[in-house]
Amino acid sequence: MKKSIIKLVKVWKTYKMGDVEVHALRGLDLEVMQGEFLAIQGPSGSGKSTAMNLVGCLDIPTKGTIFLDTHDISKLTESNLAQIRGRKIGFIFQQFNLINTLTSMENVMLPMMFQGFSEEKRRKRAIELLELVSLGDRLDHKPKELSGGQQQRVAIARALAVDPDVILADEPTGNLDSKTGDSVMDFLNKLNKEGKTIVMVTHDDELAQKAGRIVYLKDGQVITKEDRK
Amino acid sequence: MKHELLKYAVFNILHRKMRSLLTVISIMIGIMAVFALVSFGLGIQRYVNEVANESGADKLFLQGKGNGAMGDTFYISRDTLEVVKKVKGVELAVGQYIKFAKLKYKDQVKYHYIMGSDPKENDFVQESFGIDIVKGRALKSGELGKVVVGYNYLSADKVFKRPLYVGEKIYINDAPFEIVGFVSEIGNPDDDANIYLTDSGMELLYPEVKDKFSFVMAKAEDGVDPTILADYVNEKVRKHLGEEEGKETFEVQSFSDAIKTFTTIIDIINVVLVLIALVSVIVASVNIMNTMYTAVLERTKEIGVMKSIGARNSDIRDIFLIESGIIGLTGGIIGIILGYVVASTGGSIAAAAGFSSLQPIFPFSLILGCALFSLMIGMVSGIFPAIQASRQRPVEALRYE
Amino acid sequence: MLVDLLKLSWAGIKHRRLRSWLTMIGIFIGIAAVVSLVGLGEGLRVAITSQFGFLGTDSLTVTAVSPGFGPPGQGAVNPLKDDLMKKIESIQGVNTAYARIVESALLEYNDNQRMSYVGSVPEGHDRKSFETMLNLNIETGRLLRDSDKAKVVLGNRYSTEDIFGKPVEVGKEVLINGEPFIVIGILEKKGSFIVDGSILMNEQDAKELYNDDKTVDLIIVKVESEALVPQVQENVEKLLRKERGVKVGEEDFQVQTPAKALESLNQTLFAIQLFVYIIATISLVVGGIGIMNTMYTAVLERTREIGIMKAIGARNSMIFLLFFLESGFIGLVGGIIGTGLGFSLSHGLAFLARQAGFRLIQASVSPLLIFGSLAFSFSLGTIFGVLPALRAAKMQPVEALRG
Repeated sequence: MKKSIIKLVKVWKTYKMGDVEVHALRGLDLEVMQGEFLAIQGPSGSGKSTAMNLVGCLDIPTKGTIFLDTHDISKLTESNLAQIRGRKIGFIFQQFNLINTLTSMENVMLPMMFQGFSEEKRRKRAIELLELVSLGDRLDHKPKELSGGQQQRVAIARALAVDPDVILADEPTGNLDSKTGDSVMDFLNKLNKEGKTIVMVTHDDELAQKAGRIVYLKDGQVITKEDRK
Repeated sequence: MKHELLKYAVFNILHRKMRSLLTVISIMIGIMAVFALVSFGLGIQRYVNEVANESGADKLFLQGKGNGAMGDTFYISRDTLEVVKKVKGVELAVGQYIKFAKLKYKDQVKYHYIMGSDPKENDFVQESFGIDIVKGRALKSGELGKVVVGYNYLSADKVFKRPLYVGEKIYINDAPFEIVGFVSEIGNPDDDANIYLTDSGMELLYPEVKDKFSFVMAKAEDGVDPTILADYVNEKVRKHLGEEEGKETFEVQSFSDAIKTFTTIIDIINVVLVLIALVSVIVASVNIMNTMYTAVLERTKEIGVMKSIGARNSDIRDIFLIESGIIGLTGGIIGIILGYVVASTGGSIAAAAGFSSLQPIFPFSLILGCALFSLMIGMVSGIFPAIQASRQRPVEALRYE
Repeated sequence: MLVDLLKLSWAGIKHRRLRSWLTMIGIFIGIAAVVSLVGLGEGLRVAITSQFGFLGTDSLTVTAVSPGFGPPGQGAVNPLKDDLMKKIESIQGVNTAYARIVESALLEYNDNQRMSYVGSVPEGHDRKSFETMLNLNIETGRLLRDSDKAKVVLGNRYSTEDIFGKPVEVGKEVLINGEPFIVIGILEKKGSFIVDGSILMNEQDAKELYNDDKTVDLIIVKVESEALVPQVQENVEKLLRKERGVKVGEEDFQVQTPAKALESLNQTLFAIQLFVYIIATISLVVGGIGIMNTMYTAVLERTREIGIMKAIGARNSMIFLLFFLESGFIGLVGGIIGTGLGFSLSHGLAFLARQAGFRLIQASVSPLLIFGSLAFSFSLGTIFGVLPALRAAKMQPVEALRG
């Protein structure tokens, strides 16, 4: 039996839009097991982005509980959450979200800085990781000087920087052409085979098929495959 | 069209509230400082001009050349005074004795100036000093043991602990004098502590200075220019004393000329202070420029849209110029109001400290000038950002994220 | 860690180059104004106080109460009598006491006139110690002797063409208040306008010139040692009260140490300086508001960046520190430029003023002033950066990422 890494229990997330309350999640139950490749799929407005924010400890639920390694994290302060996600979770975004004023190398070094790694260690690991994503010759380039695929590879290197347990990918290929997208997916698969837990959010059926398990979201709840049809 | 641009500008300023507020505050602070300082400068100027033009317009002033306290080592003798009286164009002339004296009232001792002149010319002397009798009466010729005292003796704790009254005794250099009157306020603590005696009273108190006046005041006849008369008096006195031109032991000045020399110094000080305060306006103008550059950057896309629907470069330029002008003017108006408050408060503090002549004035021209100045500062600061905005190419501007 | 944050801050500043520059300009104008004004003010104060510092610390001056401008003792209510010296000298701890007559005088030479001061030099055995005390040295000619009659020694200022169109030379005749005197010596330059512009003559000559042989303007009391000064001061006051028949609190005379005499002058100067500084500081507040504005804009523009950093593990405190330091940086860089500019400005202005004839004006930019203004400009930046940095730190990562 695999161990549970992240577990959402009856999680509600409610936003206030003016006077109207919008329920993005309505009692969502979701469990991410160690070492799996999970795809969260759903149409826009289904609450999948909100779900990812909660799984990634970027946000806290309005109601319900979130366990990370069996610890309840739903009541932690933002600053403490930052510390946890910095150590446990690596993010890959659709828009890459690199810091434009920093070089590839500095971007990869940043999460390690927040965890207090020494300069020397950061430098060494950043070079290793950028070589791993075949960008060893682009260390001092700024994001604007890189192609989309290259930028996403820098983002992957950054996600791996502190060797997190979970990689969260939000539409990782959404801004890439299909060929580059494929290579990014291959890379994620490779990471999964090496033991990383990967959670991917997408609306793309074909992409979702490449994951080990798919969870469908609609109106803030998990639905079965049959319900989809 | 312009009306709509104005509305659009106001909307945008309100839209980025915090930044507009901060920018307005910065120009406000600068204008406030400038406004307050200038209002004081103008107030002093007006006061001096009043003294020079109203009470001093027809008066001359003759004194010995020397440094320091008047009436000690340099003086104008009585026969010189007689010469001055006889100069054509001089209506009348009077000699003043001035001494620094020890004053005693009850158990308190103070040191202030005492002045003595011929009571026959009381009216002229009072007019020259800008004072009236406010209580009691003026001195009469030949009175020895009587004095008229300055305004500050009327109040407690200004000169003496207790206020003085007509009929009370005050000791000058240990000789008793009876107070017969009080004069009105001059507006600074020194002059308002003066004590006035008759010339004979002074001569009795200080026999050694008899006929050696600290200075002489003369009144020009109607229609005689005091500045020209001063030269004429100078020549007559010089000849009387047998002195060479350029080596006189005395000097003659018209009252207004003498006062104007003094005003020049005050003006210079005030100008320096205003210049220093202007530094903050310059800094504020840099702030406005900064805010406007930011606004142009943020609204790049909007500029693109406007251009694509037909806005000319000059329209875009005007939009930003109007915006920065409004920021400057708003800051200026609030700054003027606050400057008024600050200056008025400063004026009452000065008055409480005895300097009632040190009062700010707020002529309409100053208010209008400051408002226009702030509008100008705003628009000048906006010129470069506005030009930058107007020159953006629509295609690039639209593409901007 | 701090170094890394500093690097990040710097990157932010560099990114919006024009606006960072404009913000810094605001600060450096203000700092330059303050530094140059403080530099000039301090220089002027030092110059002025040094004019009066020639008496040394082991002496006291006695004067009668007078209006307080012009030479000491002038216009005095109750002048000092010249029989006081012997009595003061008999006080324990007093070395000697000199009487001095200091009077306003009209000096004439080469058909030009100049207002100045005559100062008397004590005669007999006191002459030597007086000269030592004031450290008087002759440049040309000689100092006065007891036998001199109608002879004067002039300050160094008169040895130049500036005053009378041609230099006064030893052996020439000058007129003082119309009376002829022969110049027998010119003093060495002292840099004090009082000494350099003075006219020294024997006490007897001064008494005759001013028709007064019973009163003196100033008594200088030389005390045996500095430690005895307070006690001697008390005893001199006691003696004078008795001699002049006045009660405590009603004194018509003053016994002061030179330092005390300087104090009141310093207070006046300080009050003026303070007022000027306050006005100059206004521009720094305006500059600070500029920083605040820039930082608010920076926070807004970098909302997404803040979100990314939070997502990859930056704590609130780190985000705060990042913007806080950035703000301080802007202040500091503005301060460095401003201090440099202010330094040059104050020296330049002082130089121009000296060229224009105001020889007293010196700029004095002390290391303390430089360090102080740098520290101040950094603090100014950080203080005005607190609110924007707090806003950045409190952003919610999800919302920030969206923005």
